[in-house]
Amino acid sequence: MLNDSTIWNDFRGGKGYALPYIYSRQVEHLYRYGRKFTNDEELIKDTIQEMFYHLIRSRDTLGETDNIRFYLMSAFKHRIIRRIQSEKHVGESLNENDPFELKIEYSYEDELIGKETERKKAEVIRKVLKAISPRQREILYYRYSCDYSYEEICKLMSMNYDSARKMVFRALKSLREHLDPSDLILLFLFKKN
Amino acid sequence: MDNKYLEYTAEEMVDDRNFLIWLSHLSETQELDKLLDENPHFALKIREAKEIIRLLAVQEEPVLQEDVNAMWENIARFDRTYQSGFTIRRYHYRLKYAAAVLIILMLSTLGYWKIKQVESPQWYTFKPDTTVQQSRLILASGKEINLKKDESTISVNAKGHAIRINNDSLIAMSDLSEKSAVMPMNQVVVPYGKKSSVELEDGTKVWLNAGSKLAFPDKFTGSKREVFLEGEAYFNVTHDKNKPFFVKTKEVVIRVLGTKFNVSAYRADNEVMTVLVEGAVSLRENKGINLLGKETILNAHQRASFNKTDLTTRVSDEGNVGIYTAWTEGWFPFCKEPLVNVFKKVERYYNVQFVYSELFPSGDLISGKLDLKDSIEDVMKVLADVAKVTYRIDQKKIFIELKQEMPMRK
Repeated sequence: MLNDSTIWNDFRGGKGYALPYIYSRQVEHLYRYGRKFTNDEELIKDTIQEMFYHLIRSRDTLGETDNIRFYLMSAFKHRIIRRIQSEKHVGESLNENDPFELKIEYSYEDELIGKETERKKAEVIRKVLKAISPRQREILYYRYSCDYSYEEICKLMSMNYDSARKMVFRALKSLREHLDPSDLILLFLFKKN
Repeated sequence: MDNKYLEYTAEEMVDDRNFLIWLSHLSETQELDKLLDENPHFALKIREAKEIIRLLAVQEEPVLQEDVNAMWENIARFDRTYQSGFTIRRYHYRLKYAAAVLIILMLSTLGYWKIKQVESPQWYTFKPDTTVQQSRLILASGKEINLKKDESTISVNAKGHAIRINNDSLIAMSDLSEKSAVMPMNQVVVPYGKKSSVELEDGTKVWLNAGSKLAFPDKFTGSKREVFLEGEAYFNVTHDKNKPFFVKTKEVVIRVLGTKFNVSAYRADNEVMTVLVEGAVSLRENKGINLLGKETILNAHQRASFNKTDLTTRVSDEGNVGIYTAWTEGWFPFCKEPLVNVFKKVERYYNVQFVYSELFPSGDLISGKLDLKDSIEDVMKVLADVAKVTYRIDQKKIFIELKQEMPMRK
């Protein structure tokens, strides 16, 4: 079984198998990640391609990594935010770390909205998810959907360990506080499995 | 079981993988029901935790296979193109290829260059070192000008049309920059033992220390100002909030709006050091993907040291920034500096080479101040006294030995 370090080093060293290997294993994940930022699928595809072009071009100057998905997601995040910002002309935002309103939408939300019969239930979920900020949604996405460690989250979101933990716990807490007993019962009603 | 779990809040449950594993194992047995009956509070927390987890579950839509394939075709083509780009340059003299093949390859190479121009270059390849003893200005056109003086000055006029050297000769710039998409760069190369200062088109002043190189354009077109540095320089950047100023060294990129700061990025040193006198700058690592390395913000009277080995940046407060900029005025003060570093700098300033006896240089810390206008003979007298060494000057070589009576230090 190949580990990430080996594959990445092989890619840097120009071994032929590495590029398709990495692409095929990461592209869907990156694509879905892109959807958290924008609905513009062309933009997502462009960004993924450009990122791979850049990797190919700078292959021999790339740093090492033992987590390719994390490496690519970090790179992708900066790229797509830059693209979105430049398209929106958000003035002279110099700092890449400027708070940027990330649109992390849980599909739980999307899935239910629009179906007339379930509108009431959807509203409950909406209310709960609205209780947390986009940045909190983002961090929850990394922590629970991507399964990232706090160290990795710190790098992705440019924050320190303590603030990352605090943010996760604060977000979880507001989720919990919005689960009042009647909501709890309601949620149980449309349990899928 | 672990009793601490009974005290857990719902949030702690959600965030603790071991707990979730434990819970899922337990739920397969009768034990869990018993536990929940006995601890209603614990049971409630678990229910809350479960709801939170359900809320967090992201159900992903599938990605269309045709999108995956279409992107891959482009990426694979780019990869081939990029490889062939190299092939062409390496084997362009081989004419055995059919013309048609050549044309296709050339077209794809053009495509590559077009893409390449979009992004700003990561690093500038300076002309390789020659044994020239004088400072030189190498214009974008390739023309080389000797700067003659030990402390030369270069000044680009405000429109970027001409360069003035040592306050007398004036050199007209070509109009190359107006036409080409990529801004051509001029270079100043300062050998050991010399210094130079450059005034850029936007009024920014750069003092270049011995053994340094700076690449700069005639004119800062586009949305940013960008120069490349190897070695040590002190920058006094003209404020322009619409055009950030970038100093790119091989390892570190420094971004400023308008400030005064000193950068030391010699190839032979293991650290890239930035010391800020005024304002604020941000630094990040200069690598293929610049994005992983986080940005470090440096405030006035702080020093950032980027370590080339472990690739980390350390920021510390600097009580006396004057130490780092005194060289622009011809002074070299050092305070609790390892002897090795002091000797390394003297080598650069005076273009000499130290030859050490076996056990030297030591890691001893020394403090003092050298007047760089003094001759190397005078400097060595002072230095030998502080460092407790004996020396012998033989042209460009200086042989150093520990004083015999000195007991060996750790």
